[in-house]
Amino acid sequence: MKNVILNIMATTGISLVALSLVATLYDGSLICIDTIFQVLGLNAVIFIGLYFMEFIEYRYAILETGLKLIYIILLVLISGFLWGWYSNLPGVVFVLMTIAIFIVCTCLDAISLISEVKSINILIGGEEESK
Amino acid sequence: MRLILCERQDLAEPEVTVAYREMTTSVQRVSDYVRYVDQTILCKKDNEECGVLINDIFYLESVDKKVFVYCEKEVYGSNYRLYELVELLSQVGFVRVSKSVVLNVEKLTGIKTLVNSKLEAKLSNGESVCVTRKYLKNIRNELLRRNKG
Repeated sequence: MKNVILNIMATTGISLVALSLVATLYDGSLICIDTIFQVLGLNAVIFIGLYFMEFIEYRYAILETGLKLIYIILLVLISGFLWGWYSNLPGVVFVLMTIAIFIVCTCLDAISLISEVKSINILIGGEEESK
Repeated sequence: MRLILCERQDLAEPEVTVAYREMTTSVQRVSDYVRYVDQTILCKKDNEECGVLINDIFYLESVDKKVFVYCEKEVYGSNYRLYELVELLSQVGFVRVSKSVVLNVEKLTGIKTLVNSKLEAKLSNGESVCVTRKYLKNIRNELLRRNKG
């Protein structure tokens, strides 16, 4: 649970930074407080869904990644519709932003996994395996 | 660690005494090994029932609701369900590493991350089994438990 909360907060931070960058490109100068809470809420829903998706064992990694990405994009698009985000930015920008954030988060996740495996290999005494 | 072997005709069965100043990893492992060295689980091979020593088991795998017991080279069938074996063997260093595989941590030589973020556990007989990330903490907890001493 602690990890889920940590992930929600981290992804919210990354999303807001990405949103600020995109807003700057569109000559934006501020982000509404509402938006921050909307992004936080959206990330919470995304991670709750991802938590349950973890219970499924996928045969192919690409299928797992694809399903997760589609699920996240769908949620972002639905949120955009509900909270009227499309009046400021086109939907395709949100999709591209989602893909970029997904790639960044996947890389960070891979780094954390490698370090987790390394620490386990040290415990096993098989440091050479982790190289 | 010093080994003292003593032949005594008055003993009905072998007896092991481990003397130590403080409980260390090695002492814990020796005691775990001795405790379960003679214990077996009932398995089947070529329709004949046989007992397989727990310490000889590398991993257990459930395929289509049938459980297979993998030793260094031999593979046996078992009438137990996987969850029953998990309950039975969790005290002996067996941990679930995926939905269908239970691994003997004693036989683990390392874990490898694959390109697609999948994990693979390397065993001392050269075999490897897939590990689901969700169950990685089981391995870590078991190793920490063993190293606690």
